[in-house]
Amino acid sequence: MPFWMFILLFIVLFCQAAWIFNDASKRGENKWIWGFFGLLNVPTNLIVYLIVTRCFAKSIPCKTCGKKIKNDFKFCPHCGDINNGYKK
Amino acid sequence: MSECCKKYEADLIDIYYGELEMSDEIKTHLEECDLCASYLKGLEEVKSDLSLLDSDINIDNIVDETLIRKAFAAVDKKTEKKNRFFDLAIFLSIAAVIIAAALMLAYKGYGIYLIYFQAAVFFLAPIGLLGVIKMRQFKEGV
Repeated sequence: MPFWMFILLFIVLFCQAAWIFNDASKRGENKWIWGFFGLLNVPTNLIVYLIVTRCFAKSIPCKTCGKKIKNDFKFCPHCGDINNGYKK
Repeated sequence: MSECCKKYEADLIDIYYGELEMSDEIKTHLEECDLCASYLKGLEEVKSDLSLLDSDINIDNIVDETLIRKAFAAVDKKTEKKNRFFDLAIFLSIAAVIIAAALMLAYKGYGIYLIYFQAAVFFLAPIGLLGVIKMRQFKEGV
């Protein structure tokens, strides 16, 4: 395999890892684990990340009532307060 | 005030506080005596003025809690953005070092092992996906 292909591969891996790290930090995921996971392979790891974070959103405690609510809820279904940790 | 009026004054105060019923005698006296009538009227006015002071202070008109909450949320957002930027910078530095090391290996002729590694991760990652999903569901209590 020519060396320039390795350079191209690692540039793509670097960009993928950066995007995954940034996205995971916005979503309240463990950005370090996901970031280094994204550095390992393309595009399988990206697909795995997207499936896990989009289809199985994490729960966070509501800042008002303390009960668990999904990250993608705009309002708490228990107390009705705005979810400050809302992620699209 | 006459002696008679002084007697009725005490009764008027009791009537004001609801401790005494207005008797016919007092009614008759009030009709005849302007002083006592104006005294009772003064007591009634004080009562109405005091009832105005009984109203609760509406804090919402003084302090807008929504604004305070929004201000704190804006500050938290800024701090979070700043921290995220620093973490990203650290991560990119570490990633650059790892990639530089991998490129060095490829340059030295170990590129084939990197390809094997990539192929292994390509097939193992979907298998690992099931485990990650199970773990996530277990943590969420589903």
